[in-house]
Amino acid sequence: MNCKELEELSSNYIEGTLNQAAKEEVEAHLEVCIKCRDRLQRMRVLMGRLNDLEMVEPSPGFEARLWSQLRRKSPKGGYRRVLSPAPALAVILIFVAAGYLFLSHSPGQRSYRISEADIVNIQPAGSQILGREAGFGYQTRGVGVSLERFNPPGDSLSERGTRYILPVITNRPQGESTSF
Amino acid sequence: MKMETRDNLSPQRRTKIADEELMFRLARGNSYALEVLVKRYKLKIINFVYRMVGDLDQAEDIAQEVFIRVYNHRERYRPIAKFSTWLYTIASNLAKSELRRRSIFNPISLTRLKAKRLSSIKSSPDKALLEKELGQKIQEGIEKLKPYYRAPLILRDVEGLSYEEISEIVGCPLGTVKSRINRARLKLREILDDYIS
Repeated sequence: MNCKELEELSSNYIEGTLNQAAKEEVEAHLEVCIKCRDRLQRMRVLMGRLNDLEMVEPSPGFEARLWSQLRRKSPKGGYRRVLSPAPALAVILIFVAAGYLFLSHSPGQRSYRISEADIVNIQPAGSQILGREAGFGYQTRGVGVSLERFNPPGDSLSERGTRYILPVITNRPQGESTSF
Repeated sequence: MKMETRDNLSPQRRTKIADEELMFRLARGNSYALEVLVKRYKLKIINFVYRMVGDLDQAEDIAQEVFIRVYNHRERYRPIAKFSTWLYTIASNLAKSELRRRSIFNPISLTRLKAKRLSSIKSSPDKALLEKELGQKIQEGIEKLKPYYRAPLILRDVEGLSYEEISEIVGCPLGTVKSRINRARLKLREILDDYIS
């Protein structure tokens, strides 16, 4: 084996992938060739240096820029990041709670067509009115209306004396139907 | 369709979920799978591209393009090869395109500009600075290699990939890859002769 042939095998020799016969040939040459021993040693050092090269760090805004680019560049309507479960759950809970509060505090807010003749009692804003459910008070927002005689069309409820609280009243001529 | 959440991809689970599974989830619409993949690979891809092009800003831009392509081609991805192999292939192709573009439009290499900066710190006895200088010299040496030597060398000696993976990434037979890596090492040793002892 000459120096040039050894150079061709030097990576394989360092990485231990040569077969036994080739390995013995390389070692026999290294025994007698100081130059090749030195070159092989330098290659080992170089490989170690390459392996130890310092990692460069991405800039802090790398990911933010990526998400922004994805939204702008990606086809099919653009990239949307999935909302993480905690904020998503919080948003859902807020909507559910708001809906519950709205409905539970507005027992009379069903959209009935009623005659103004049915309106018997106009409540000032902020006044406390007893709602349908016994013992549950409602506070009017703006001007409230309580109905004591009311028989909504298609509704089985026809109890006299039931008080429905409606949050808004509009002035209409006598007898004209008003939608609440 | 079952909704994917961060809980499904909690830090504990992230390490267990294979890249290919994450790509499958991404293709089904779970964008969070991409976040996991980006966190997993951004450092490797930026470093690989940086070693290829020698400029960190450009390396970041190219790495961004790599992940954008992953997202845009999420439905076309087939787990025939490892995800990381596919990712490095995209990165390698983009880096080579940049080098081609640079050789056409910007014949003055960045290496020369950096060499000036290096000479100013050469007189410092500080060991850390000398180490840094050696690192920069190695980088300059890498940049002097032809791209078809450069990519396999970085993938093997810096990134630590197997010859088989490199063969897939650069699209060359295994024997060619081994030969190119050996020649790249010999060439780099020659370039860095004054610095390697």
